[in-house]
Amino acid sequence: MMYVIVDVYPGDSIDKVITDLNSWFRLFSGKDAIGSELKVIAKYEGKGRVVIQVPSNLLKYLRSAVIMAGRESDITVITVKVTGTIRKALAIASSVPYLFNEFVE
Amino acid sequence: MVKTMFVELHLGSADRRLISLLKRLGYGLVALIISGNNDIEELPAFRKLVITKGSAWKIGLSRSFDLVSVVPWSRFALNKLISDDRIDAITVNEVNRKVLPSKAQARAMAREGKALEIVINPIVSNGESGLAFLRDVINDYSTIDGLRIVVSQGISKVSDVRNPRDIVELIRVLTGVDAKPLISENPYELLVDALYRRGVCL
Repeated sequence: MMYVIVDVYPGDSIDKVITDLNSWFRLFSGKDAIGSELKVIAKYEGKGRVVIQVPSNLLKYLRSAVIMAGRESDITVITVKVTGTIRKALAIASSVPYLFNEFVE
Repeated sequence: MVKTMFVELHLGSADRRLISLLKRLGYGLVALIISGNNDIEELPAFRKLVITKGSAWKIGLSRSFDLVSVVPWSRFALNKLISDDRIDAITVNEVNRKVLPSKAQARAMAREGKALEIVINPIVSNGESGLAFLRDVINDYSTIDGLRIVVSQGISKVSDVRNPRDIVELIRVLTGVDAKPLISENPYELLVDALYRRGVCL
């Protein structure tokens, strides 16, 4: 499994982005993703950050989906970090500054 | 391992917050496509002239820019511009099959040392048909020997920004091509060549 930390701006559009990510992920992965799914491990609502679990062989489809997500609604979606353990992912997610701090002010 | 430096050659904003976001994502060099006095301190920024159908006269100003690209508006114009010394790159920034360089024109571009720049934001904003276009363009032109392909994001506001590493993945998923050089080495070399052609010593 791989864990992907994604930052979203504006921060309150997390749910919309997760929906978008799922549908683009399905489109890119096609039959490869039969029987597997994206799993939201942690959501930092106030912060606009989400940690998503994805099977390693399907990571490239999630990363591709990040390029497409949010476009119709002017939402920024940026991968912050990809790691192989949930422990590391959560540590990074709670320590690395939100990418859009300067935009929030 | 040497850390990759990403290059964005189609930046339409000098917003300080945007620039520092790009820097955090690993961008080390940008080219601004807007005019005016835009002081950017965080990153080396070059000035790029983008010539379109309505602004063909601007080619006369090319000396005061570091880089010149053309968004071709017809096959005829493209033919003429491919052999123009003042042009460094041909830019594709919309889903428009009619004005893409033909195979012969692309080979001529390779000979003349002109790059093909693909600006992905306006293309993939078309959703699935944009992805199909992007796939076909990269598949077609990556087979042309010696043609330098450059991929820019095309950023003018924060919602345009994506992680360049994800763009590499997207292009790999679509085409199987390793796109890393397309967002790092190739645009860097394009810029260096353009500066060299203008007589700037590096």
